[in-house]
Amino acid sequence: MTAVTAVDTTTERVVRRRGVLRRIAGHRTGRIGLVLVGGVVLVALLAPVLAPFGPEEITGTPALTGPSGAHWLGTDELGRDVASRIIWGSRTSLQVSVLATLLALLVALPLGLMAGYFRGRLDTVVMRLTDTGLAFPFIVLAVGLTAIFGPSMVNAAIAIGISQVPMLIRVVRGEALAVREEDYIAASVADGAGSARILGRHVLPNIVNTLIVQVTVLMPFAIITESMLSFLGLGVQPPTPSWGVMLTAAQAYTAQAPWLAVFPGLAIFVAALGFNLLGDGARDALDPRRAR
Amino acid sequence: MTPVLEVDGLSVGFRSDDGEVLALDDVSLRVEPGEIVGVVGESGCGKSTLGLSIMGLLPGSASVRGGGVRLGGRDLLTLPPGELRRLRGSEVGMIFQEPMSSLNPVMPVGRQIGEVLRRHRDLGRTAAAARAVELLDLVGIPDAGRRSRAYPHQLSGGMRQRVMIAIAIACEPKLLIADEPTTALDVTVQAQILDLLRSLRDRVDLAIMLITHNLGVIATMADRVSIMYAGRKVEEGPTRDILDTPRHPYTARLLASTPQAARSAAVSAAAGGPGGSVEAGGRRLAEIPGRVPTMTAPATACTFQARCHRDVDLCTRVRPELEPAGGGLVACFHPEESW
Ligand SMILES: Nc1ncnc2c1ncn2[C@@H]1O[C@H](COP(=O)(O)OP(=O)(O)OP(=O)(O)O)[C@@H](O)[C@H]1O
Ligand code: SF4
Ligand SMILES: [Mg+2]
Repeated sequence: MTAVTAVDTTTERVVRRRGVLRRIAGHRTGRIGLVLVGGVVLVALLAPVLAPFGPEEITGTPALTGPSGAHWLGTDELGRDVASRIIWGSRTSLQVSVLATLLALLVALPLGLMAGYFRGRLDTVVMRLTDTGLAFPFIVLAVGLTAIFGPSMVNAAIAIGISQVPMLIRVVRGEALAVREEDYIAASVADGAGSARILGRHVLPNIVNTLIVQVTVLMPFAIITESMLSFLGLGVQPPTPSWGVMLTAAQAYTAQAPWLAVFPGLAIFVAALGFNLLGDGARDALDPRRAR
Repeated sequence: MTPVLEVDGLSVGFRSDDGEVLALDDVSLRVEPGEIVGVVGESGCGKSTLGLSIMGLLPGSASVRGGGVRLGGRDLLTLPPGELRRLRGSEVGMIFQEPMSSLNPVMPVGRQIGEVLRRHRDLGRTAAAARAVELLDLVGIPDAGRRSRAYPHQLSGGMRQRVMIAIAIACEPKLLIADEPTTALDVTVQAQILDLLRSLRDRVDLAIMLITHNLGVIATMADRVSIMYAGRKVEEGPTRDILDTPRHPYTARLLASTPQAARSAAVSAAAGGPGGSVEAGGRRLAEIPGRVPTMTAPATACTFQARCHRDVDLCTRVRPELEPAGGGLVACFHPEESW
C-alpha cells in the first residue's frame, strides 16, 4: 500500500467515531473537560449512593449551620443538607440540558440538513424562519411558555431547546452545504442513491464531528440557562433541588450564610467549564485541519 | 445486436450569467456491447457534459435542447426520475477522475460497495458484504477480506480507483462511463487501472465509454474513437485509422502535438504491436495555439476555422457536417489527405 499522501489530510473531513473519546483524552484541555464532565455525570448517576441525605430531607441540624464534619457544605434555611441538594441537583441540571439539547437537535438536524442539501425554496423558507427566530428575545419565549404551560423543568428544557434551534439549523445547514459539494456525494448520486439515503448515509455521518462540538456548546448553555430560569422562578420549582433554585433561596441570606450561594454557583461553574473544555478538546481533536 | 448506448443528435445548453453556453451541439455516439469507445478532445469540448447527460446527472443549470439518449433501447430523457435512479449504478456505472475524494471518508470501502448492492440488488447485509469482498478481489485488490473493512484514507490512490470501479460494476452494468479515470494517478498505476478495465471488458463483456485527453490511453484501450471539438463531434473511426490517418485537421494537430515517442507508441499499439505502454504515451496533449471557442448558439461555420491550417473560403460560411471518410466519419471541407 503506497500510502497516505498529502491529499488525504485535506480531503478527509474526519475519520472514525470509535476513536473520538480517546482523541479528546489525548488533548490537554479536552482531558480536563472529560474528567469534569465525567465527574458531574457520575455524581448524578450515583446520587442515591453519594448523597448523605435525601434531596428534600430536613436533617434536624439547625438551619443555616456553616460547613462542618456532619454537613460538609452546611445546611440551608430549612436545615437541609446543602451538599446533598447539590448532588441531587446535578440530576436536574443534566436532565434539563440533555432534554434541551436533544430537542434542539431533533428539530434543527432534519431542517438544517434538508435546507443545505436541497437548497432552493425550502432553504429560503428555513433561513427566513431562523432569521426571525434569532431576532426573538429568549427571555420573552421562556416567560411566554411558562405563562401558558406553567413553570416546570420540562417547560424550561423546551424553552431552552427551542431557543437554540435557529443557531443549530445554521450550523447544520452550513455543513450540509459544504458536504453536498464533495465528490463522494456526486459519486453516490451516480450509483443511483436517492436523497434520503444520501442524507442519512453520507451527509449526516460526515457532519457528526461538528455535531459533537455543538453539543458541548449547547450543554453548558442549557445548564446555565436552566439555573437562570429557575432563579427567575420560571424553571424548576422548589422544593425540588436545582442549582438555580438553590441560588434563588440563597439571596435572602447572602450575609449570614454565604455558602448557600457559593457552592451551587461553584457547581454550575464547574459543570459549564467542563463542557466548554470538552468542546475545545473535541474541536481540536476532531478537526483534521488542526490535527497535530 | 442492439447497441448498449445510442446518443442521437444530442444538444445541451447551460444557462450562465453571461447568457447561454451550448456545451453539446448535435452529438451522436453509439457504443456496442463489449466495445471500448474513446471520447477525446481538449478541455471544454463537452466530454464530461456528454457523460453526465447519459447518466442523467446534468446540473440544474443545464437543459437538453434536442436529441435523445437510449440505453439498451430505452429512452433515458423521458424516463421518470425514479426509474432513472434505478438505472444508475445498475445498468450504467460511472467512475470519475478523483479517486481521492470520490469515496465517503467515514465509511469502510466494503460497505460502500455493499450499499450499491443492497440498493439495486436487494441483497441482505451479509450477502452484500460477502459480494463486496468478491468484487474487491475481482478488481485486483489483494487481501480483499481485510481491505473491505478499511477506510478510504487507508488505501492508496490506485486502490481507491479500484474500489470506485468495483462500486461501478457491482451490479454488472452493460456500460461503464469512465471520465478521465487515470488522470489523477501516477503512470504505473494508470497502466494497471487501464489493464483492469480492459480485462473487465474481456471477462464480463462490459462496454466502456472512455473520456480522456490522452491519445496514449486511447491507443492502448479504444476500439473506436470520437474526436470532439467545441461541443461537436468532428471525427470518428476505428482507433487505428484515426491514429494512422487522421482526416480532420484538429485530429491531426492533436496527434502532432503529442510527443513523438508517445505517438509512435500509440500507433504501434493501435496496430496491435508491442510498446504500446501508456507510460510512453502518458503525457497530456500539448496545447495547440489558440483556444476552444465557447459556443452560444449552434455553429453556422466551422468552429475550428480560427485555428485551422487548411481552411478554405467555404469554412467560414457553412458548417461542415459529418460525412463518411475511410472507415469513419469526418466533418471538414478540406480534410488531410496526404496519406
Ligand atoms: N455547470 C456548468 N455551468 C455552466 N457551464 C458549464 C458547466 N459545466 C460545463 N460547462 C461548459 O460546457 C462546456 C463543456 O464543458 P465540459 O465540462 O463538458 O468539458 P470537458 O470536455 O469535460 O472538459 P475537461 O477536459 O476540462 O473536463 C464548457 O464550455 C464549459 O464551460
Ligand atoms: S472545415 Fe475548414 S476550417 Fe474546419 S477544419 Fe476543415 S478545413 Fe479547417
Ligand atoms: Mg471533463
